[in-house]
Amino acid sequence: MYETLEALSRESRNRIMARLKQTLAVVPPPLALELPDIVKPDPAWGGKDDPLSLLRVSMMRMKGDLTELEGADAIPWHVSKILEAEGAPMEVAIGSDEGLRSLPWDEAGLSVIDPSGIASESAGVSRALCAVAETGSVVFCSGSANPTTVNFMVKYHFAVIRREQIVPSFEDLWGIIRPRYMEGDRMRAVNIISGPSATADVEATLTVGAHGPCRFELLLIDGQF
Amino acid sequence: MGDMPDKKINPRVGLFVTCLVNAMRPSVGFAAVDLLERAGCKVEIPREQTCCGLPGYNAGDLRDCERIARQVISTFEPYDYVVVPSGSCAAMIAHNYHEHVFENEGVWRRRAEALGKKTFELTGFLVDVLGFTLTGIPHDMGELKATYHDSCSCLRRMKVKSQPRKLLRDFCRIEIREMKQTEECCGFGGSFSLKMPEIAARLGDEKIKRAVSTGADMLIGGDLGCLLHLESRIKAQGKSMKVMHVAEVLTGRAKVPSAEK
Amino acid sequence: MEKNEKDFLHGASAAMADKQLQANLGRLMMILRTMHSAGVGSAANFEDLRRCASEVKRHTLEHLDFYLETFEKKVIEKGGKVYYAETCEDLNSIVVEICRRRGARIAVKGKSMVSEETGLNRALEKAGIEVTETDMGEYIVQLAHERPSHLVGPAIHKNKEQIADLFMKHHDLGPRSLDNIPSIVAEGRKVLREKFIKADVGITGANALIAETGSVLLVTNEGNGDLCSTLPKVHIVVSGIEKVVPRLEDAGAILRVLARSITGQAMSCYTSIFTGPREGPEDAGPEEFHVVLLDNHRSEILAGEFRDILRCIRCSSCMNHCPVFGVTGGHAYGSVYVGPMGSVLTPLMEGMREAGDLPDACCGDDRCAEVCPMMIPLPDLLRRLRTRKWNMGIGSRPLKWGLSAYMKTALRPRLFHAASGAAAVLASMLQGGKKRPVSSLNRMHGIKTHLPSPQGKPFFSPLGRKRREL
Repeated sequence: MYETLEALSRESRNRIMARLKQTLAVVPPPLALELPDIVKPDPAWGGKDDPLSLLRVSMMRMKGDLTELEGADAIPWHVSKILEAEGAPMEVAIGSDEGLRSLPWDEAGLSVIDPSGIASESAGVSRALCAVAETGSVVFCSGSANPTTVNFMVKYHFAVIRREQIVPSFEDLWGIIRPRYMEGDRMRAVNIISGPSATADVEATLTVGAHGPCRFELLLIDGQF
Repeated sequence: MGDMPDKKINPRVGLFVTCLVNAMRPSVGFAAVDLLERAGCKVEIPREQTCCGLPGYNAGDLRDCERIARQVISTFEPYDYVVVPSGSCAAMIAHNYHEHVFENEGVWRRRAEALGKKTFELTGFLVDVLGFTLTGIPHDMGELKATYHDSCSCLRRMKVKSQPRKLLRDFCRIEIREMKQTEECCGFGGSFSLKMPEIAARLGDEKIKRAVSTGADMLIGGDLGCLLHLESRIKAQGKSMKVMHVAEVLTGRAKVPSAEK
Repeated sequence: MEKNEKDFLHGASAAMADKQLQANLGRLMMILRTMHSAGVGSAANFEDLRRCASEVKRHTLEHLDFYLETFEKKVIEKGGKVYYAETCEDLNSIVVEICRRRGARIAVKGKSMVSEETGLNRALEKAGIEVTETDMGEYIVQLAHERPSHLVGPAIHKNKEQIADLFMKHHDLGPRSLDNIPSIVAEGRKVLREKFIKADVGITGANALIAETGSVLLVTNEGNGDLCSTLPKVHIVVSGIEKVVPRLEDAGAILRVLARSITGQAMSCYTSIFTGPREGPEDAGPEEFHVVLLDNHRSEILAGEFRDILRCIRCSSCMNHCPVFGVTGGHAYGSVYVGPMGSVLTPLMEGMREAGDLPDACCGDDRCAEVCPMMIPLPDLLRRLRTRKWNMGIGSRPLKWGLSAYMKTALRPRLFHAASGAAAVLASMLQGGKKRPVSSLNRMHGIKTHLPSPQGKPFFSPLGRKRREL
């Protein structure tokens, strides 16, 4: 028996690595590894050269919504209209993101709460890193400014990006986040979200709102934010 | 299919009869000879043939299969083409021999590959290699209600699907009534039907149900293994659908059921 | 008959007699195939995507030691911990010990095939830790004390009435109505939300382990994986060693075929990349981040002729298109991994004597190879397992002797033709000259078959015949 799990792990590691190295010893060590070329998908419904329309089509297929707004100030009004129509509590959870918090929520009849106060019917707003047109995905980085709890705990989730933050494919996304990883930016969680939560576990019938949000909308802002 | 060998005039064709045709339905063999001769081939049927080795290959008896394969290669490599009235046996010779049976052997693998390049399933050979056409319709069976079963080997290994239908149309004026989910397996699977007969029977029954739904009186196909399996399921269900090999139909050996009454 | 053969056949028989299961299964298969088809159709170059993903994995496996070491180094650099488990018991011990050190009493779990492989839930419960599955389907089968019946839809064999009954029995929520699917899902969401919040430990699997950043890739449609890895103070990832990929791009290559193969969508709802514990108390996320890497014969498989199976990304495309699985469902396989990929992996992990019947459950239609996004030659791997089994001398003896005798006779044409001729004569004698099936051959495994009778003399009749007779 092993004294500690570290000892158990070390022993296992030795044995596993020994087996692997024995098998793979015949292959020269990867000094300059020839990594495979990566192929990008060619979407059947076109739009490869028009990221915005591809994004729109892709999001629609995943039951997400996309709305273009003229300026950031229009956000509170837009969110308020939707929450009212849904009969949801008139409050939004936002992280410490100053830009988002300082929008005119009050005037739109919405109160801003801390992510720790998220309840089952809550709405949340988070700023995203970018949107990937290839798959209709919106990408978020964790952190106190826009914590992951907002992305998953709320019922109505609104994501905010500027128009220029739409990128065509995943490779562009990796190009944005890899340097941050390498420069020591931890980014504990990168969430690539492509629609509201769904499950088909009951009778293979797609039902929205399994654990995550029931509604997911991307707000595209023209201009500075 | 890769490179098509050059179409030869009056090619020398070795007919690989297959063990099932030999034992259960020799008329398929004779029909194949008729078709090939009609298409201008010089057909020879070497007696030094028995089985392609597929039953053992699938069940794990690779050693005996290898020996059988060597026999088949030696017997048939002198011919311009090898033609087989079965997709599974054709695939065995055309693909499995060099891809798997002799995967580790240089000389035999090359010989197997060479043989494989000129080995074809019957209807695929007539249409794709010979471009066989007729003037006039030798056996008008226009009023026959027939459906077609494509074996998995024909569909996926030998790329045969449109060819038998074209021949049936050209030779017999038969329009196939396609089954729903027509590319589903019939459940025969060679020794699978011996190891797991209940599952094989269930899959066969489902295929028969779909065949009967087309309103067809006859089930035509290109692989005797599948056809015999389906025939046994038809009997088990008490149905009266006739089962024929495509070669038999093309050479007038099948009668339109209503004509028999 | 050997014990293991009886198990699959027995299970298959029971499944085929279960009308409810047949109806559910039939429907599910149709839905999944349609979705797969849509996924393949969504990218004009899907074949290229397949080739790319396969190449990524093939390359990684060829240098697995290097990439594992890189991954481990990076995880530690980012504040996480890495453990190696040679056996299933090792993995369970490690996870239990991590929980024990935190005084954990409540755990929530995302769907993890590795945890099923090792029986982790049982080990945790034995150690006094309450485990709740959070994937809706896994939660349902957990309540029912059943094994998952399908990789992607674990509870797909149950209809909504059965699920509603389970919820009514296990959730103390007073009188209410659960007569439609949205209400069932809503209740699942509510009950499980409480568990997420109360849990001390979150345990998930991983879809990929990214070596260059020391990150874990997790894909779900429900978002439960993210809640498991964000809310509790400890996040434990359990994964097979073969899940490593070199770079972010390579994870992307796999993502591009994964969702398309399962749900037909370009992407699953939630794809997350986790790297280490949270940075500080203001941030959401776990305080501890652990990755436990399981071998359980994978390194042996890597060394042999079955290495290709390690490319499997657990998408379930193979079983969704398998005619045999479509009729028997998952439970007949009696193992964690089912369908074609399960029939390859299980004998390799549990031994040929225990699971040697599974490679026989193959009707040879090759659909699995056609649809596998990682281009794994499943039919060929299954055949190789059958060859290994034959050489080990396992399997139905009468069948082996019969086939062997047949093959050896086929090596001698004259003997073969004489034997066929004799058999035909015998058959016609037994039939009394009429075309009636030979009745003694009609019962195989207790099932009445209706063997067709031979047409007459064989083609190569040794007595010779006129060619135009038939």
